[in-house]
Amino acid sequence: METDSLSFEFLTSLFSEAKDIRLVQYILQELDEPSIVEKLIKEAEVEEDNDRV
Amino acid sequence: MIEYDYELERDEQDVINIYRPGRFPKELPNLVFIEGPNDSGKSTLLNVIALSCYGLKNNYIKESLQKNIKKLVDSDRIKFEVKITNENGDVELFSEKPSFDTDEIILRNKEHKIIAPEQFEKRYRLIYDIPENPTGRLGQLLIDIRDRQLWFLMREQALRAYLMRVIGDIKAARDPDRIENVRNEIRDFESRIEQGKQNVGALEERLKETELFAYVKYYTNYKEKLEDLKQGLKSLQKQEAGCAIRIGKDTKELKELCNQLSDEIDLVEEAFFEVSEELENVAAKKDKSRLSIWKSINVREEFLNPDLKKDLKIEGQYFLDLVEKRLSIIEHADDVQKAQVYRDLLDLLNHYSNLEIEIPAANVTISKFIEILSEELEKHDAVLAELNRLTEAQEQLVRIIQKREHAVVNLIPKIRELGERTETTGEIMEDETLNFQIAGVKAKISKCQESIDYYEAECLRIGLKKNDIQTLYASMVMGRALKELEHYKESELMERISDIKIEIRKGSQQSGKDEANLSYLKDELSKLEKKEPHKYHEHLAYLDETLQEILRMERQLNTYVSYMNQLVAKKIDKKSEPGRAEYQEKVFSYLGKRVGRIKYIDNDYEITKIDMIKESIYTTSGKRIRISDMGTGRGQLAYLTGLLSSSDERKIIALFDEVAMMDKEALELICKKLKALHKSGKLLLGIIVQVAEAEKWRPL
Repeated sequence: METDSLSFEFLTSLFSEAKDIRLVQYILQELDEPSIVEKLIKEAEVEEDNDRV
Repeated sequence: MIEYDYELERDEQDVINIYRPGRFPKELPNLVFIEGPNDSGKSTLLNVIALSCYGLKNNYIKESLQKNIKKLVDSDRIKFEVKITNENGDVELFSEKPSFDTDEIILRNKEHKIIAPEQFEKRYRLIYDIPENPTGRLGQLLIDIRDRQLWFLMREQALRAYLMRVIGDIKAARDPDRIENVRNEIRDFESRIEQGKQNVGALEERLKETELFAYVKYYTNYKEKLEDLKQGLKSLQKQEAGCAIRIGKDTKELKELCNQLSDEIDLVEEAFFEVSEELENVAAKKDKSRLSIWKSINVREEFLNPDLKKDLKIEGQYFLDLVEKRLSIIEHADDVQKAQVYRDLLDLLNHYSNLEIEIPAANVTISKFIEILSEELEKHDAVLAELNRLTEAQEQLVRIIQKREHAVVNLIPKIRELGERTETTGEIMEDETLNFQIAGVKAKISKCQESIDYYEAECLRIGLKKNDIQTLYASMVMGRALKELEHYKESELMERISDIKIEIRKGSQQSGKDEANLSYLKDELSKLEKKEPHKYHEHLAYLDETLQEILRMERQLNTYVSYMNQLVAKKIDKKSEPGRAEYQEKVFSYLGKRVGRIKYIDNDYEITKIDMIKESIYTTSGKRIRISDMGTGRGQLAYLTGLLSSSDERKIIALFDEVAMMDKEALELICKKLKALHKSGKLLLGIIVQVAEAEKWRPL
């Protein structure tokens, strides 16, 4: 098993919310803080658009 | 490929020797297995590579190996060059210690830029190990997980701090909603100020009218009363001129009766003055002539000559009938009855005004109900005041008539009889009663004059000349221009004036406060409008919500760190903690996945979890293997496999020394693991060293 996926699997197993898991993913990808916030906002917008449809 | 060279100067007491690489080539592949006898330089090679990769600053390298690396610079003197190229043939790391005399190690990357120890540690993972107590060291994998978890917590905290800063920036930036709110507040204040000004204006108008009415009315009334009192005084003084009244031997009784009569006259005079005010309101046009007769009555003269003067009795009865008739109409009017019910209800409810009880059917709280009733009652103020005044007038007229009757029937005949008796005996007594009466009337005159002076001064204050008072009295009081004020007594009017003044003062103070608030809000609006909006403004609510989630995660992570510390220290808190067992299971399962497979006796097992509390390894086949039952080589294999399955992005530089105690199969598994890592680009360099009789090397 890949080490990264192992680490991801372990850390995500500690949380249950979908948003938490996304955060774990971004942190493990070593994205900087502004990029993480930007990504979260974009995702929220997409979700909002999908809800409208 | 790794290219290296070094010179090691060692003081061996009798001689200083220089050692250089010689038994092994200076160029070796990235994955290499080296064998050789003791002191052939294979461990020195690993120590030099570790030193070149900041091994002295690596806390994960065990103490015995750290000592060996340190010896190279402390006891010996060394200079070296180590160059590691990657699978593409590019130089990835170049490290050198150019002379014996410098302590400085210069490590450069492929761009030839110097990498500091912290930067190196961020990009590379140096694993330098030697088999030793592998059972105990399997637990060190926990430290690896703890560090990874702490790193994650640190990144999460940095994200939380950044998010808080962004939210703060958004709030400090231009906020259209806030601007709209401030504009609405400004509109509200402007409207309130305007309304307040109108209210104060209306109150000032009402105050002007009420003052005018009250001051003119009472100035004139007191003037008339003063005239009456002066007349009464004259009459008494005339009697005094007769020096004394002759009275007989029953002097004491006569004196008491005279005092009684005088008291009765005083009381009737007082009631007469007060009721006359109300009668002016009650009297219709047809009653004007009767009112003139009433006003011309001299109470004292009528009491002293009841056989000749009977106006007080006749006119008193006439006006009593008139008042009672009016009272009967008012008492039965709907709004008066309504007002009386409201007043009774208010008296009762005021006892419970602090209770938050809702009144059934009305669906309002007691305090709200009191407020509604008070507003309703206020609408009936004037008619209630009239009712009170008429009731009082009725009582006073009854009192006047009864007291006159009592004087005429009881007091005066007795006084006369006693007077006649004393006349026959010729007894004379100083008339102290008369002096007393004169003093009383004089006191009343003085009091009356004070009131006149007060009202005159007030008239002047509101810009009314003395000569105009009479004219205004005719138009405002007699002409009934302000009908609603007619029913108020003097004290009630004064109270009303004082209340209106208080209301005006309150209104002005409120306006002042509103003006200050308005000015502040206008400044605030101007500042807000000058600001630029934040690009994330419309996402503020979402970011706030995200911040809360991150804070929740942080609390959870801190709890997990404490659970992990207990595992590492092998001191599990006895008290039960929520989620701890579940967390431990996750850690054990993760450990199992990191080590993957294990050889035990002659079989190969897939691990499901490694329980570090029970110190047991569980396999998919349902086997439980105690860690302590595993041979050193097997334990070492499990440990090294776990070490190589590190969970980050860094490239590994793996140096394994003295692996002889591992069996061939275990060693092969390690080599297999190294190759897989190298193939996936995760391993930059892998060197395994073993003691053997002959020096040889082979690529893995």
